[in-house]
Amino acid sequence: MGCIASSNTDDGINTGLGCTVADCSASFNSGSGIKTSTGCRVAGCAAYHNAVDGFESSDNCTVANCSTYSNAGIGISAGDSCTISACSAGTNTSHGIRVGSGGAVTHCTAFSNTGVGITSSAGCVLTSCSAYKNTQIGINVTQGSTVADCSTTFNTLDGIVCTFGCVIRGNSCEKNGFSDGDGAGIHALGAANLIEGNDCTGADRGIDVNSSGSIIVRNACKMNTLNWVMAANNVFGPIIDRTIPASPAVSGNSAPSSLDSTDPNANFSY
Amino acid sequence: MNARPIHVTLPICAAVLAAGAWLAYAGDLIPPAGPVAPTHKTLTEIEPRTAVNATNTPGDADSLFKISQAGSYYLMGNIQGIAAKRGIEIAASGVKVDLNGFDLFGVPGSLEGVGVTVIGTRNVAVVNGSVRNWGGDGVSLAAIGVTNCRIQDVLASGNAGAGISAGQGSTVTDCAAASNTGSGINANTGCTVADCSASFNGGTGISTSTAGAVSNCSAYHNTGNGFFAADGCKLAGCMANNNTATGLSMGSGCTVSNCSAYQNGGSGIITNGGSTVSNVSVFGNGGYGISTSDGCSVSNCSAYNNAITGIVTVAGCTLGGCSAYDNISSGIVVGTGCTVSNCSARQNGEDGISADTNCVVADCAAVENTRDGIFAYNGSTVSDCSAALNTLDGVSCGASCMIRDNNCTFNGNTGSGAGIHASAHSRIEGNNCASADRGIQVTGLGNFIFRNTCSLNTSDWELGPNNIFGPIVDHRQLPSASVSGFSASSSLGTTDANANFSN
Repeated sequence: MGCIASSNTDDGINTGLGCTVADCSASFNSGSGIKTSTGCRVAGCAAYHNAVDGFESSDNCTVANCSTYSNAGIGISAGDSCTISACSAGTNTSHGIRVGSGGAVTHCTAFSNTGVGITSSAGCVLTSCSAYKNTQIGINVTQGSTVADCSTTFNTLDGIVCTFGCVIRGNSCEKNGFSDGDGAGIHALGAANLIEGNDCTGADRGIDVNSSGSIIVRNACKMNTLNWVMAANNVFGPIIDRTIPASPAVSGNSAPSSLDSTDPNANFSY
Repeated sequence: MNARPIHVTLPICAAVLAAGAWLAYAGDLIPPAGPVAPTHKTLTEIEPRTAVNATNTPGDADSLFKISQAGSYYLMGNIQGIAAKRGIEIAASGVKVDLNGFDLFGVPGSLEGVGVTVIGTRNVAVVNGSVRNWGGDGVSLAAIGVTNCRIQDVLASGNAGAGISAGQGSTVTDCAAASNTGSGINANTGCTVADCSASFNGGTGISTSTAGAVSNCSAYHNTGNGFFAADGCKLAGCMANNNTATGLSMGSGCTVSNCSAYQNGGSGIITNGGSTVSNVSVFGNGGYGISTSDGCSVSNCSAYNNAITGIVTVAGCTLGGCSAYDNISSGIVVGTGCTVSNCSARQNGEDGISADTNCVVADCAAVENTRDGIFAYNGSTVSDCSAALNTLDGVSCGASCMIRDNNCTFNGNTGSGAGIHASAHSRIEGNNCASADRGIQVTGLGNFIFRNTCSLNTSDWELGPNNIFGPIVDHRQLPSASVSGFSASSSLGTTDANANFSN
């Protein structure tokens, strides 16, 4: 607790099983900043300018309220069944945050990393995160994961990428495929995903579904080069084109719908 | 006549026993071979250290006393300085100087009280005394290449330089530095400063270079910053009060925990990129309460009554579990791509929470702020928040925002405001807006508005043309029967799942 590890020729802090590392700073080390074994807890720590990863955690670890900035590897690299909460990962030379299978990432930010903002293995839950201006994908998840209530913006490639069997819900994806990149707001590579209630704006493609068997409902896409690109044999609510809304103003307590649809599962272009 | 009983038996027995014991302690009655030799400890063995005096440690052109050999040294009295000389010059490694509770008192034009002069000196300790009014630093163990030193139990005051200066990898503990013209305590790279105080110094109270650790220290009424720490440092358990500049000024990759900053003339806490700030309180500072650069994590902090914004961050930061109350400007202001969660902002002089582009604001409360409760610029998400009794809007957003599942009540309090006020191309879903001048107000086009409820507003819905919205069902006068049982027909007045309601 409360240690400083700086300019060491290997990792700054390296722990065994079941340790707690709190309020520590690890900077300019030739290895990782803080490296923990299975079952450890890391809280309130900063990892800055280390030659490998900022934080490198094995399985079953928690990392909370930490900052990892300008490391030569991954900002936070965590094994299986880890929880990452309220952490900031910025300007790392690889990914911002990477978690293994069965992990949870909540209230984190990943910005300007030279890789994916947040990437996870199977069966993870990512909620209320922000992935901003990363040079690859904003958020990348694999099978059986959930991405909810996140914001992905100005990433060079896709905003959110999932493989199969994922839930992608309530996210805001804006201006991905940024600069010279090519990207969609949401890009589903595989089958059997639920894509619901998302808002995708200003990318090369709004929602891009490569495979079959996904459910796409209650989403809204606007100002993309192509709002909707979906392979055959998917299940989706009607896509209502409201790019020219042409509705009157409203002042008062009632008005007829301007949705042009009463279908609760309708998707909209507007 | 009866003979008196002999009452001397016990004392005689005790005397015999004592004599016998003494004889046993005195050793063998047959002495060992060889000449008689003493068995007591010598004075040198009792006090093996070297006294600092003109005989043992004579001075030279620039020192009153000069230590040129490794060893342990001690003072036998106060030292009165003279101009152009330092009090004690240390010119060797492996030296410990015990000031022995005495006072080194300098004069104008003198040099340091205690100073290391040889480049690369290491393993020097100075302990237990008072060093004051010297023309340079009070204690200076910070010449080029000086490392691995210790300064402990030293009081340094009134020196024309710093009170205490420590070289790389040194420790400074249990010291007090006051009224020095320069900094109170200067620590080089990789030092530890613990249990010290720095007050009324002309520069920074306690300053540490890269990778320093400062714990349980206080900095009070210094003319510069209370604390200054370069990159990769840690501050824990420290207090910075009434310093003229910033309370705690930190570099990149630092951690600040369990600290307080009170009534500093500048900001309470300032950090550079990639730092963490946790469990701190900042109160009544003349600048920001907490100000961070990119990529910082701020958690479980409180910012109260600071002269500008309570908590302000640049891009890519996370804020969690913080409160901002009664700050003169906004409560919380975050830059691009930040997340703000589980925070509260109350009675601030401008916005409660203000987020730049592409932020996520979730699970927050903004109450009684003098401008908007929550303002979010383009591309941000505001969800599951409560905004009440703010002077202007409850939630106000720029373009392409997602405003979802918020509860906005009694906004436009003493002013004119809407529960939710959006510009263009935003998604406004599942919110409840009540008792404001306007429930949901949309001034631009292309917004997507559905599944919201508005009630008791002067005007529930103010939507500009060319927006997309579910039907707005006026339920204010629709009667419905009471229900007692296990079933009832709908009283919604619509089966449209995207309907908005006035009720």
